[in-house]
Amino acid sequence: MDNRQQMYGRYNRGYRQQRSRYPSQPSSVSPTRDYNKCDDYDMAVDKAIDKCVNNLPLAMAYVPMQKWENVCDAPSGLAMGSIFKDLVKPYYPVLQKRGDR
Amino acid sequence: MWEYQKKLQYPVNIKCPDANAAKIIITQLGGPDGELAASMRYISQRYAMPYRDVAGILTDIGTEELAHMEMVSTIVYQLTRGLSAQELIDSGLDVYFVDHTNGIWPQAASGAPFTSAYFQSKGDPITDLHEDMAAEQKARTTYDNILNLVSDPDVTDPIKFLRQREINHYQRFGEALRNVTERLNADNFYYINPSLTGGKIFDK
Amino acid sequence: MKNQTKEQLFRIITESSFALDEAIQFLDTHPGNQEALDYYHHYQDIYKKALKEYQECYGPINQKDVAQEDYWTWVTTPWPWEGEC
Repeated sequence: MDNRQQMYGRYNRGYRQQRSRYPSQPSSVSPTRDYNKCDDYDMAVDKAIDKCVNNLPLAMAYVPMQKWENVCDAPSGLAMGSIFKDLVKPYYPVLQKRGDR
Repeated sequence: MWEYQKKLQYPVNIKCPDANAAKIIITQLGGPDGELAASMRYISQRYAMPYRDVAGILTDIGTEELAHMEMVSTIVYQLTRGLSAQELIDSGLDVYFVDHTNGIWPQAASGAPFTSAYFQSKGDPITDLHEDMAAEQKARTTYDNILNLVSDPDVTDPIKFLRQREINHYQRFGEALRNVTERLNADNFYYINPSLTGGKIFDK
Repeated sequence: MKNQTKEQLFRIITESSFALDEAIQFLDTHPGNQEALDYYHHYQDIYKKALKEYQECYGPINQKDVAQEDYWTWVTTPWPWEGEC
């Protein structure tokens, strides 16, 4: 009897953090940059990002999950190449602008 | 299985042939970071993917890349039809013409033929998704370089569309990686390859 | 959808099909997102109606939807790479 359907059902319904079998690793203590050298705004932003990203498990890459927001209609989306305005990131072709030819 | 629709995902209508542009744009068809490589990569990786939602994104983006292959082929075709002998010789595209005439043949800008060596299908969800995220960035950079070299709006318009798609795909593969890690043990994501255990992380 | 020209209908098909492509990929990574599902169904409806009318009047987009019964129009209408030029 193939019990893969049962397994897929469990793993496809939602995203559950499995209970850990391993003892927690001690978190690393050394700072990554000298905050005395940053201006106030940079420090505030850096610390906010640090709070989130530096608490994630090590040795893995993390891309934020996009929310369904700033979505445009089909004609605008096709013209931009994306219905998601937050993902539209145009390129500035330096060689073209400089007139390199 | 695949069905074909008689339309391009985004229209391509190029009024002026340009052999020099064709020489470099063909790399997004048969080159190491091109659409054919992307499509074969994702479509090949999906079989061993133990999570249906991730197999879904691999299938759907892999299929869209086939549509992009068609767009790039169309761009190269419209850039090369009607070229004179002198234009072919001056641009160096004569070495392609002699073997393929106005036909489309997947190769890199260097002339190297397409090969599976351009991609990996490693059979590990974390590894494969990292490969896919890198592939989307490589494709984006290649389109950036094309935009640095080409100025005709009939050409840059579909190229900018294709470039934007790479960014969106990068975001999706990143999200798929998050969905995979959510299912794994946060203390050691690498303890087991879930493709060997049907998605289970504790081998019993 | 009535009284649209061939070009207008084809444009609607291209645009709504793209919107569906985007919604599909978002849903692959967010399968429970209700707003995405609503967007998908909204454009699915537009896409299907435009496709039906275009294929009945002007020619096939899908091979399984060839409406003309007296000739195999799949091979008589232009291929997408021909362009308008």
